[in-house]
Amino acid sequence: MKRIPEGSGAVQRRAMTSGMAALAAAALAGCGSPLEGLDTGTRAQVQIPPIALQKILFEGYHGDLQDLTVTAATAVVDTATQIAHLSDVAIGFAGDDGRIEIAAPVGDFRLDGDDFTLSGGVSGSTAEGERFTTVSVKYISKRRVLHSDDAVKILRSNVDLSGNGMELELAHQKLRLLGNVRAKVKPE
Amino acid sequence: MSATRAALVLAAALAALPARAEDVKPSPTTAPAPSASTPNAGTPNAGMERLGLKFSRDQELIITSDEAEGVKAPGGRESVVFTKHVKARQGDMNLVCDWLEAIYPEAAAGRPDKITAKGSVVIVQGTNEAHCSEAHIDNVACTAECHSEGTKATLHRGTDDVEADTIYFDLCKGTVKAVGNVEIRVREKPGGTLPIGPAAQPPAPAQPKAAGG
Repeated sequence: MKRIPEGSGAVQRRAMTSGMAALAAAALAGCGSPLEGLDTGTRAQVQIPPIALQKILFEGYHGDLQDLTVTAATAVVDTATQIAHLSDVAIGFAGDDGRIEIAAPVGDFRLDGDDFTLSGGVSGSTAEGERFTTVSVKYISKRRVLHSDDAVKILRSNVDLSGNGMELELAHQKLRLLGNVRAKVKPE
Repeated sequence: MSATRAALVLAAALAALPARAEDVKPSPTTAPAPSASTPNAGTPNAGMERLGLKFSRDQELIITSDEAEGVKAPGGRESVVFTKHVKARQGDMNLVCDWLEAIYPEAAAGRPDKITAKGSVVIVQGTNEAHCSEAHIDNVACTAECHSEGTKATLHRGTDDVEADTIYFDLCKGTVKAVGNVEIRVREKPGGTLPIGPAAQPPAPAQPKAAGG
């Protein structure tokens, strides 16, 4: 069984979006010899154990604009796979049309690409009061897109929308429902 | 209502229609005058309600499709485009088409104020069935217009057909107006006994059926 070193108390981290991988890199930096990179010998590769953190805050930036905030109760950073396994995750996206918040009990954050997957029952809301729920959702950082292949329900003032999947372009808040779409507009 | 009466109502309602759309293009909020468009001017509502499509605003609107895309336009307006196997239903009115755009007013109110349907549009309510390639529905003005590119919009009502460049519906009053190259076909219902419609000839002198073949 791997021993997981724990962070000392609450850890709050601030990093550039492109530098989120630096979290793992920084953790690794103190663990190995700087000469290891030059070592071409036959020694077995040192495996860095996962790192446990609590009360996580990541902030992502595009240029000077902070467009992504990730909070989580705990994170276990797997340095081998470059994935941070998060619990009680909440993510906020800033956009031209207001902020979008999503939350889920479980999240996997890919440190090498800033992509993540939320699962275990995802709920989200927009600045205009729309709410959506789905089982899991992926964030594709390169395209700034939230994608779900699971059934989605979207609720707004008096419209219920549902579909078998969705894709939300965060930059323009363009929502695409995929498969078996149903919109129910309640009477005035 | 008998076939004869239905046909007469329809024929008389359409008799005064102009042949060219630009001659009398109705404003979206204007329904045809009951006295001019219905023979039973004494009871205009009774006559009008039988002609066209009518909204049930107190009913929920349900739209289904294979895909949908919502876009926020500048100025706060929003539109949702439904594509592939689109069906919309409100009360007893059903609409089928290939592509439908619902445009919402500002502040993301729930009900779209305009709906555009394109591609093999069929609107059915009771015995009324309208076919066209493009339909525009204005929920605020309570109107709809149905027209087809390169061909005519049609309205089937029971055994009667209306074809025109554009067919306008007042969805609150239930009236219909056909504009541009209007053609009306009024057929006798099976089992009917009287010839009907504007092209009908006076009853032929007693001519045994067998003689007509």
